Amino acid sequence: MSYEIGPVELDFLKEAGNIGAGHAATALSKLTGRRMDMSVPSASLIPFEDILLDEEEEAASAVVFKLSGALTGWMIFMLPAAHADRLALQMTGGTHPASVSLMQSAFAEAGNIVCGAYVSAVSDLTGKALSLSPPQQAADMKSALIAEALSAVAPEADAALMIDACLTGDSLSSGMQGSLLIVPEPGSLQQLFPFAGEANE
Amino acid sequence: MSEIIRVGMADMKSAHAGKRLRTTGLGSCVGIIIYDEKTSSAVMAHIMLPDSQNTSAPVKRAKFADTAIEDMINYFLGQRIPKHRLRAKIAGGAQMFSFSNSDTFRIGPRNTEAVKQLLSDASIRIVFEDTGGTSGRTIEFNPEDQRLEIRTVHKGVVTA
Repeated sequence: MSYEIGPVELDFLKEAGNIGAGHAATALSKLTGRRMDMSVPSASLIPFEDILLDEEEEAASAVVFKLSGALTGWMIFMLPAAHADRLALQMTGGTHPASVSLMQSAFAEAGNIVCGAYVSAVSDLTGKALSLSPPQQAADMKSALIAEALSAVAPEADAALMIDACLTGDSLSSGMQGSLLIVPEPGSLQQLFPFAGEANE
Repeated sequence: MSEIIRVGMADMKSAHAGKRLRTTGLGSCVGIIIYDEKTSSAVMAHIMLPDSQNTSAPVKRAKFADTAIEDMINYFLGQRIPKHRLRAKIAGGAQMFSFSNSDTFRIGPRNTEAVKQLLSDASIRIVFEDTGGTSGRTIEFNPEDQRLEIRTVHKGVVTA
């Protein structure tokens, strides 16, 4: 196992998530013209074998990015398909679904905002530069989307960082339960936290 | 309903009649089932990558097609089931994202090719395959009647 980070670093990544979520919510609120809040209740490292053991056949929409700079790997923002459609609808200002490509593009932009905000927060907190590739969008079975990002780093890695994200808004009948998944390349998290070992001792 | 044994990513499990094997989240990954009709003995693996040769990390054997298939065959040999009785069903190997200049997201077709080649090298006949495309799959195998159920989000359930 090549991810030797401890509770202190996980807390840091969760906190960065909350700061990023704040920025993302503000940006999404402006775009949709509705109040939105976002919070990050948990962050954890999960071994590959355990990631798919929950029933995760539900349809989901995902936006994927390649991470480069101080943290390298992959990042995914995911929402259940129905929530993604609702968010895209609010972003395009429509009352009924626009063309599929417009909806996809709107959702990709939402992913861009959320992941971009997270990456900026990590960057601000560590003083190191991180950047994202342009987004790739796909809609499918949730578990397959997750597996897909994991296989990109699979030759060397055995675990991924899962960050839950709750998106709520006053106009939404129910919250949107999304997730941010970061799959760092092995060694990359240690680069971001060069003193990780010491802090945990 | 018979008990379901869940196979995770980079994982491998065996079962006999009375239990079923199931794995979810096959995108570019390939689900391999090798079974013996006579004893209703079956093994399912969920591999993520074609080849363990280029990795420097300690090898998790069920993660790679080559090491997984070797272990699956050895499982049957250990049960004194001769290789010529073995049959295989495979599913997965899709390509869900299309990062244009990145090889990492063309793993699906490479996984499928590797699995087929390795099974052919071992003289194990593939009696059914559902591979490729752009959709994720969940599969469930019943060792008793050797039926494989394949679920996708867009096309529902197919049984083979």
